[in-house]
Amino acid sequence: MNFSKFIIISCLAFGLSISAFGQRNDWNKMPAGYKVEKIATPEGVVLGASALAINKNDEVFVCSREGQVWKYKDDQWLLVAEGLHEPLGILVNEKTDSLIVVQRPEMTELVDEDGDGKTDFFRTINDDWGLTDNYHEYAFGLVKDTEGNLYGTLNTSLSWPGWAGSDKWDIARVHDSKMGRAAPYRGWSFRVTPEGKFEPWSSGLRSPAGLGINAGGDIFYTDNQGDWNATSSLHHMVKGRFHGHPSSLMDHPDFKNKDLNSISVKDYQKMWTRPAVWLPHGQLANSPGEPTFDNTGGKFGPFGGQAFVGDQTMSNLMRVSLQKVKGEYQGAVWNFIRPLECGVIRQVFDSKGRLYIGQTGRGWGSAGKELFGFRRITWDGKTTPFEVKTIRLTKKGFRIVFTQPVARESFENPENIVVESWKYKYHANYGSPQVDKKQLPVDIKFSKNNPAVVNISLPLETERVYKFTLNGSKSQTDMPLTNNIGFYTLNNLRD
Amino acid sequence: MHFRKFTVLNLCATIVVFMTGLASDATAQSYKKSDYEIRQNEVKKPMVIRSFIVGGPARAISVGNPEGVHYCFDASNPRVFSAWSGDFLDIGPDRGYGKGRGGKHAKPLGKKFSTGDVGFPFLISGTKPSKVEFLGYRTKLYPEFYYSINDSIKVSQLIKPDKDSMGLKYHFSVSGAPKGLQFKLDESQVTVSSNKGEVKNGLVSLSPADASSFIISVHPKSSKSE
Repeated sequence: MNFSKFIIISCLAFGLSISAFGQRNDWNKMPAGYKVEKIATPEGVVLGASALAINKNDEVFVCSREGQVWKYKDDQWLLVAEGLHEPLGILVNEKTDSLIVVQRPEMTELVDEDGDGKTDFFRTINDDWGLTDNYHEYAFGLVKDTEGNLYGTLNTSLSWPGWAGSDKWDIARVHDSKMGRAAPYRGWSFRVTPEGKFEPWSSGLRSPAGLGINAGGDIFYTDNQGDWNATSSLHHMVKGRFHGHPSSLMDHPDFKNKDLNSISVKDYQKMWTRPAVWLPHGQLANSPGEPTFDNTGGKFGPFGGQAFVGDQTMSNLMRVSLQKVKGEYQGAVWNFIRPLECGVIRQVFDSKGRLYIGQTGRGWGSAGKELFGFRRITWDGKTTPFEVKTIRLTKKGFRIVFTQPVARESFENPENIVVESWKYKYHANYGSPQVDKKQLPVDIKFSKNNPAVVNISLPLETERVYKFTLNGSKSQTDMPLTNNIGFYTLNNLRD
Repeated sequence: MHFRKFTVLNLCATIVVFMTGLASDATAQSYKKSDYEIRQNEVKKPMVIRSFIVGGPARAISVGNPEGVHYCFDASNPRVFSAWSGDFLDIGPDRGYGKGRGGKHAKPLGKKFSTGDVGFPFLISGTKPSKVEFLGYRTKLYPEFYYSINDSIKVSQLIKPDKDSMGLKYHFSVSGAPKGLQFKLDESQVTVSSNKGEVKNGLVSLSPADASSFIISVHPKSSKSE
């Protein structure tokens, strides 16, 4: 069958790229002051960790792709619920101490009525989105805003018969792309109001595997590279936005009775809101999970306000720093920790600022030896790693802010800061190569006031990714950079 | 420990599973296909599994019973969709047999029997209701499903296997029942009986008082439904 062939080919491709990672001797990255602990999961249980939540007592709730929900605290595990249909999002309802999960068919409240810790009542909160028996139609979540609305995302359908193995899901494939919309609201983000009402939120999503909310209440989701998505990406999820994948427009009131194939790629491109941050394929991420914002007040180190994003294929954790330019988010991404032995798709901070990560790789070709995992990342509270903290766009170039004062002499040679930029194509094809790639002349100026800042000037153009490779950079304490490669997505220039 | 053994462990309702310091080495485990087949003797109490199921609706809820009578409930059009007896379910396709992406259709094991499915079984004076909404389920022992009809009619349906003969018993309680509430199955496939109301040609007619609590028994007419 064509589809199984595809799986074998993609496994081979993953295998090759994974062995390619292994050949780079600087692949492994662990910033100073951080440690990763593997937490033993319940014996005999396949726990493909697919969603994490935490309550005020620092009890962690772990959903699994196998349909269970477990509670973890102090190395003890309690089974809370089972028999769910691939739950990929979970939240604690602080008012009632119940849990809310999003599973393929619905959003469900898990209520323990007799106090034994196990769910007795599975209350359906909302099931107003379409679902067929197409395995790709995942439902992801969950994020809650201050008004109590719950947000999630709905995967497109795997529609191309060559991969799906059937033509029954071949609906709303646009310009011969691979994913389509076999049921209503596939490829949409949505929210469910406190009254339980379903509201479609934004369209054009592809494989939106995770959501997060920042301290200001702005919601972001990540998408996976594929048709109509040049490389993996982080998007600001704003009501009414079109994020790029056209199949979802079948459920958009403005496109009722329109033939989506009669609209040109150029016209779709005009409607498209670019991602805030591209996550370059094969270099940082192939299939990212949820963004988790660090609101720990410094308990997790010097990266407060930034988002941590895992990747299921590369089994790493990335770090994203956002900047608003012309009212829109854009920003920079680095690797943070790599490797983590198994794909990372979910994270949650506890009250001590420790980051729990939920891991699964089953069937998706994760780097590493493990099929699933649960880990805790802790900062020691004193060691400042030497990293690029942020890259900010200025009028003439970029302001690179390090976590520590820099040794100026380590920036004196032209090869110390290498900047390249490229574009991605917007098209129906699966992913995009880096096009119009250039290496840029860089002029370095040290900041007079802040010894941890290096300003660079260089030619700036919009709709490009800027790659920064810092070679030999050292802190004044003679520490080398742990992660020396960053990527800034420039959508808008500063006025 | 194999998945199959763990399934049995999971079924022990009162067990509070505290496991301390026991590392599960995911790398060392290998799963046999049969580890995912839930056999009759492993269903120690009613178990509920949501997944796609061969021939079933996308919002399927499979329920295995220790009595060896199992069924699939459709949460999108709330009713018993299908039933079978013997072994319960091969859940492997949903779990990728421990290594694949999964998300495929679980396979009912055992022998299928008819539940006389005609779609949503309640009628109001002969007419199909315009709106039906699934509201969830409880799992005290046998699952009890909840749904509403035209917003105002609330139905709870506790489903038990018939201990004496192959079939299912539906313990209904309906609040806000209108006059003319009826329950209908395919009488060519099943024998329908009720402890309340009138039964005629597979159609049960219930007064609002009857509807507050009634039991419907469903038995396949022959094994031809296989």
